[in-house]
Amino acid sequence: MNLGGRSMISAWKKLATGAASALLAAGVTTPPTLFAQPAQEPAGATSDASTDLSVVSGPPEEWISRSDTVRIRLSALPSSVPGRVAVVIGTTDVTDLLRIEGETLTYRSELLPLPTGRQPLTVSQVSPDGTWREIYATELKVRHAGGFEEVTSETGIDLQGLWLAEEGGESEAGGQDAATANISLGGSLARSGWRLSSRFALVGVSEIEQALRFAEREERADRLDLADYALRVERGQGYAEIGHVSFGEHQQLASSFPSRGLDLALPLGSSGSVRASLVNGTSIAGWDNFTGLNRSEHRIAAGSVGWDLIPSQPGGLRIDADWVDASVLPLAGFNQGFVNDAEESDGWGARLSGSFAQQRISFRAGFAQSDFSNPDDPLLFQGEDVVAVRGETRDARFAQVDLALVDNREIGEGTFASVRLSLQHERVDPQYRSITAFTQADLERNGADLQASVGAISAQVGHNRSEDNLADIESILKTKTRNSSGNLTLPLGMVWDDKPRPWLPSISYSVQRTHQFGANDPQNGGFDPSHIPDQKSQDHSASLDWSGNRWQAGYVFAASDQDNRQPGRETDDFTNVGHEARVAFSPGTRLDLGADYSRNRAASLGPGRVDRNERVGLNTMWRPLEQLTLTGDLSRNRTADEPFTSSSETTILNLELSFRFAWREERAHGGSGQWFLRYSNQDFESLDGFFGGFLVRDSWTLHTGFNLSLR
Amino acid sequence: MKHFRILLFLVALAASLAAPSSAQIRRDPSGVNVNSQGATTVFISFGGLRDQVPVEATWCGELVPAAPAVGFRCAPGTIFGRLPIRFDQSRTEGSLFTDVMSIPPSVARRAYQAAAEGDESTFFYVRRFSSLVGGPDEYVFVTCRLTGGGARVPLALLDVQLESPTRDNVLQVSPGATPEEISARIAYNGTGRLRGRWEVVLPGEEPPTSQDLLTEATLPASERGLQRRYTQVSRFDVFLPPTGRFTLPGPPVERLPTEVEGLYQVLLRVEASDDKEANSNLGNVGGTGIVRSGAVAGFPMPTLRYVVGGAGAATSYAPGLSLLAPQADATPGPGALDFSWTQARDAALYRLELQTANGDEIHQALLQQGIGVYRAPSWLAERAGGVGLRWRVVALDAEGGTAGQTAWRTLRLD
Repeated sequence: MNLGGRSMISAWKKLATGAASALLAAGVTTPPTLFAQPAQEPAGATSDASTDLSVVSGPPEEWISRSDTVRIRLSALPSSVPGRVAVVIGTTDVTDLLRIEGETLTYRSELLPLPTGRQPLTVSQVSPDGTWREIYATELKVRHAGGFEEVTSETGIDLQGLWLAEEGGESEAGGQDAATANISLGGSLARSGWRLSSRFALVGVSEIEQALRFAEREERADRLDLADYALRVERGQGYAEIGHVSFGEHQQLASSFPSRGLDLALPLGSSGSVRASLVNGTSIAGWDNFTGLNRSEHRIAAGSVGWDLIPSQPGGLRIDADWVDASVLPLAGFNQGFVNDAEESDGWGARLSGSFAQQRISFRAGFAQSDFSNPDDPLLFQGEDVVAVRGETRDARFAQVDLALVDNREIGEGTFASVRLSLQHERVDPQYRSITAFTQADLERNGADLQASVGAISAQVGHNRSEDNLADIESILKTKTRNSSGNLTLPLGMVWDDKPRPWLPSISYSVQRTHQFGANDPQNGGFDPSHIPDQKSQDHSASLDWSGNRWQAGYVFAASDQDNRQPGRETDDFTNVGHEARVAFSPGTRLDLGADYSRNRAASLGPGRVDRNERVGLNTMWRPLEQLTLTGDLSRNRTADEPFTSSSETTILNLELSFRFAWREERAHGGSGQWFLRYSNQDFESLDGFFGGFLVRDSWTLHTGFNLSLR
Repeated sequence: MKHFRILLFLVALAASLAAPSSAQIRRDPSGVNVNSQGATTVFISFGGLRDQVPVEATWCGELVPAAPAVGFRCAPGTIFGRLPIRFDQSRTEGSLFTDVMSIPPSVARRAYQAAAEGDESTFFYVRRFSSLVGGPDEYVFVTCRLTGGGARVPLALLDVQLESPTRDNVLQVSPGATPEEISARIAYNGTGRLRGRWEVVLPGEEPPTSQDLLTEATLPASERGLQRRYTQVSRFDVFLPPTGRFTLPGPPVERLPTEVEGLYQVLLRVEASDDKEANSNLGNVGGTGIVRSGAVAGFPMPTLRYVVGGAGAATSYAPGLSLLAPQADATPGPGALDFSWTQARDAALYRLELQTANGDEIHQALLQQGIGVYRAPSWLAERAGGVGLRWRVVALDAEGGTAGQTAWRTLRLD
């Protein structure tokens, strides 16, 4: 403890306000009392039952204003028990702002108005030895100005200017001057059960190649573009939202499909709900299709309705019905690339889920039917007379049952064990397709998983079998797949709970074995025996992780092999072995050091080729001053093969120095800024004896720039 | 009719294999297993071009002699579609033409429906080559065999979506904070190793072109070293079983740069792996060597942007206000922990703030003027969870506004 500080505080104590003095006198030990007068608390006092306080009455349950009085009445005079009382609102200890009048504590909102919104309020009894014991907890609901129960604003603008100060090397570095802007607008208002919230995110760039939609629109892309937005009105369980939404809970019909559009949900009585969505065919960014509903041929309509059949037990038995009507053009989503088509699907589904025996038995099952077709696609047809796709109505179904064979049973002092068995079935008809689900058609799969845990140790084994060509079409290959998996997690440091043992690692191991083989001899399909797979593969992964207060370390071993057995491919096998080690160390709170190393060997046994890869990475962050940060990253990656037909080596170094400053940080409208300097160096060498010759690229750049963040 | 088609196919096959003089252009592979229920992508090399340029590519159920052109072309009435321009990643280099055949799901659907009606399940991919010197057109076909899309089908990426738990188009990250987890949801054909790098484009770096974003296996071998490289965050090398779906974990998010504000781009860089089904043997088309083409894709890999921005640390100080104890980087032992500071002029209240190093709020306390000390709750060390902490004091004026604040000071509670 700093004695100078103690003396100074002693002096200032004399100047403390009357309220503080009153609190001190009343025995509600405020922080200065704790500091200056710990000996005044009764020596040897204990907090046994006879000296316990309790709260007789707390703040009102209804919404109050910021200037309202909050009173907490205790069961006895605070000064009659050893120690003191502490009151925390949210995460803030407000004890020093309380007035004591007999058994009543009153928050002095004239010193600082109450914090707005819903805040937890707790009262703790602090024993003379400093131990806090919570004796009361409730929720404080404080309205904002204008009577709003919640007012938030999350508006900010980040501006960045960046200059390429210098560049060099034997090849073009590719750095550029650039300016970017990141604008976020958002906030919320709540009153009388209604809540209105909004969120807009915009990104602006000076260089068109960096525009959000340059890949889609090239030179026509907007330099200032809309990344995301959402406007939402809600009341209780119901809401209406426009903007960036996602919908769907049926894994075979519509599953968490993200897009832009409208979303509406309403409760049906006390145990039901209905939801409707109308959205764009894929996730999008940009201004020009603001609602997401501009193109009828690229639009999805969906709805669902569900009830808890046992209202007194939500989730005990629930039934849901789903419907989707979708039409999409061959367009990819914003962060997506895929081989796509023009498609139309119209489907419905039903789900049933529930649990029994105190949730020791639970299940979920579903059925879906989808009517799918491909409309004419000029990009695919290109003027040709193309065979029409016949529309197909196909089904899909799934079921899963989970059984708790041992349910959190205590098998030793503080040690619990659980064993759960899960059985799964899924069938998706040939040609089944729902645009809003990520399913695989023409597949039937059955499986079982057994999971067990004892204390912190857990293990899992599973097996599943699947087959395709469910229609048994003679000319199409039918394959069957057998997949077994297992994993074990053994956190040695947690096995003994008497004290931490950071030198003991957490061990995990997983294995997966797959056998896929042809199950028919296709006729008139163009197959010869070598075209029909018979392949066994296995994949192992083991890791060790250590974690101390100031350091972390880890090691991962991975191995896999692929064993082809069909005629003509017996020797076309592959093996792969990889090692990875990493360590991170923080000698002080201002310095972080990290390193990683990985090595991989992939062998193609047929031609006798071996590929090797090696990576070393080093990173550091040093903060000599609170505002000044120096970061550095160095990575070196080498690849080579045997018999040495090709090799490459890449070395990348980045050094960044940044200085951060701020003003009016605590005000509603303040800001911060940053200046930075970055040096980047990249060396690349590639030798390809067959195709590429010898290639060397060596470049470096020096960038400097500044950022301003306003809100 | 069916026997006639078989005979025609055999004649076409024999003609293409046995009479290279009449069909000078050769290809490898000449036949592939494809997915009957979805898309398929295959890397194909065509060799022996002589003053010829590739024109359109067409899928169809039957072939007929192309006379007076060379080879076999699609029979009218059996056409399933043409390669859409958006998937055309082909390149010509001298007498070698590298093609990436991306079969849309609707083409496989047409072939499946034909097979379900009793036709042969094979269908054909026919490339037409036009002569620049007035010679006849030449048609070269590749045979497609319908399967379930697992083992023995070329390893190819068909649908790649980069996403985070919030599924925002652009992630927002505070300076120095850790971004949310990123992953790549992948649909694929075949089986084998998926290997590559997670890279990040720093503010001010030239963004990648669509060619830079193609998987390495999609490019001709001679162009693979020309792709621009960016700051490498981590490598990945995982085994994809023949089951068609996989979620690739993103880079360790704590390694993503977030100190300097600006617009960043996370890149999924997929390297070519050895896959017997996908490899293309140039020895069969008049060249030398085997082009490794495991993990081919008919489209550029998507990217995910994140913006680092927002409020920074405070440096506006109030006269007279400074921290006393604990000292910077202190590691107080067990027992009472007292924070103390000197008093500022014109301050009405003080707010002591305790946060993790990442800025997550742990605890605060409001204290009146003249006090200048606060004893932390006994549960603070437990709630801090052994992580590094920082603390400061903010002076508040009579209206509750900020009159000034100290700089952050660090400590660690073990």
